Amino acid sequence: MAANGNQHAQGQGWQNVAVARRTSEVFPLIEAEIPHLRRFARYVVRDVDRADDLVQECLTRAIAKIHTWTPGTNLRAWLFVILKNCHINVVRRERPSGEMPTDHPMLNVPANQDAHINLLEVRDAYLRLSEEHREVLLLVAIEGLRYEEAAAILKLPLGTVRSRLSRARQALRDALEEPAPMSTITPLSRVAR
Amino acid sequence: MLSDDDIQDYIDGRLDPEAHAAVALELLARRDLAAKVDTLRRQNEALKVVGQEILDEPIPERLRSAVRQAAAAHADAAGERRLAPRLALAAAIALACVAGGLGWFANELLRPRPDVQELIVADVADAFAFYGSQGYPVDFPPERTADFASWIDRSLERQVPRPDLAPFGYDYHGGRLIPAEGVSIGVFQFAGAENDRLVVFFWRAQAAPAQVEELSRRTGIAARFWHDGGLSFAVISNARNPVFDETANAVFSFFKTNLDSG
Repeated sequence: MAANGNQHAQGQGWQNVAVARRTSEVFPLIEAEIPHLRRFARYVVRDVDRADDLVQECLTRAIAKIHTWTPGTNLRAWLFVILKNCHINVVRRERPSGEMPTDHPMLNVPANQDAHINLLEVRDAYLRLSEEHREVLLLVAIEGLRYEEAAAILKLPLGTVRSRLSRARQALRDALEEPAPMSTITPLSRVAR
Repeated sequence: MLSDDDIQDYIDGRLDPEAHAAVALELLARRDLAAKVDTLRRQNEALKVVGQEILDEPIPERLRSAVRQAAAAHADAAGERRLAPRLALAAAIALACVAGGLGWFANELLRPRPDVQELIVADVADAFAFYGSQGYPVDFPPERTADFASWIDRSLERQVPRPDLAPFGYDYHGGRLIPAEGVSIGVFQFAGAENDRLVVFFWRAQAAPAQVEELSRRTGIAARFWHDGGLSFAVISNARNPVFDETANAVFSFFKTNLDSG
């Protein structure tokens, strides 16, 4: 990237040039993050079309406020913050009281399950976790974000992220020891095309 | 004594080499804890493939175009490249408004530096010029009208009903939202019997462009633009004929009657 915060402070004219160069360079990077945004959204809203709607809203907002992104910081984490905010807004609109959904029908995973039985068991167990446990595991264990970045996305103190992560891992262990009830399996199309 | 945080940091690779080695050494001496940590590490590794199939899916075109159109708009707005001939032409087309009647805007000058509103108009017309002959891509086909209405409500923070243009020979083919200049532009696309296209664009705006001029009637594209109740509208078609004028008037009247005050 061409600019950083210190360079921005060097003067109004330079700042304008730096921002312009930055924004033009960041769009291909944003496009490259779309698959990760889709995965995050898919596991949050549990519906292919609604997840992509959420991603599109996130992209629109991100582009509109691209000047607030700091070059050199984790673009994926920044986009995840926006995506999460979009989701919170949707939940608030749909549930005026603001409570998050607690009913979590199990999601299925695509076929191709000839090998790696343990991996599939882990995926099935993961999908049976609560939304907050799925979220924190996705951000830290799957996407590899730092705890601080996960805390910013989830709007939680760092210590809460740590404890939630610990509980999520324990819940995953517990889920691995319990067979999935067949009645909770939802159609494959809900999650993957 | 290892804490829960130590174990998490160890599993997530957050420890520096010295601390990592210290944890590993302690685990050697505590087989019960080592077994638990080993299980958690295996879990962690297995989790990395969760959703891999989603990453491998083709990206829907609507998501790609959301970024690319915004990139093009930014490049234009920032002066990073000159307007391409097509965009210049399209901008001219978009700024063309038919004077007289029903409150259409008409003015005498084209400003050399269009303001944000006019850049949006240029985007709108450019998009139409680019897609017009094949039909504008839609993200929300007619069967997803309710979803699209919800999206419009969220993005524009108000409801915008869709006009029925069947009496004028135009069937509804779907809608989409496109980003431009920091706002979302709603699109209703219609097609006529001769495969002519008519697209209604709308977006939030505090005021109309300061100056709008009729520039050309030689382009084969007809455009109407107006501003009302906190929204700007453009109706653009590749069929310039009396039906277009009649239809555009109907669209104008429809929103005049059916739009809630924002």
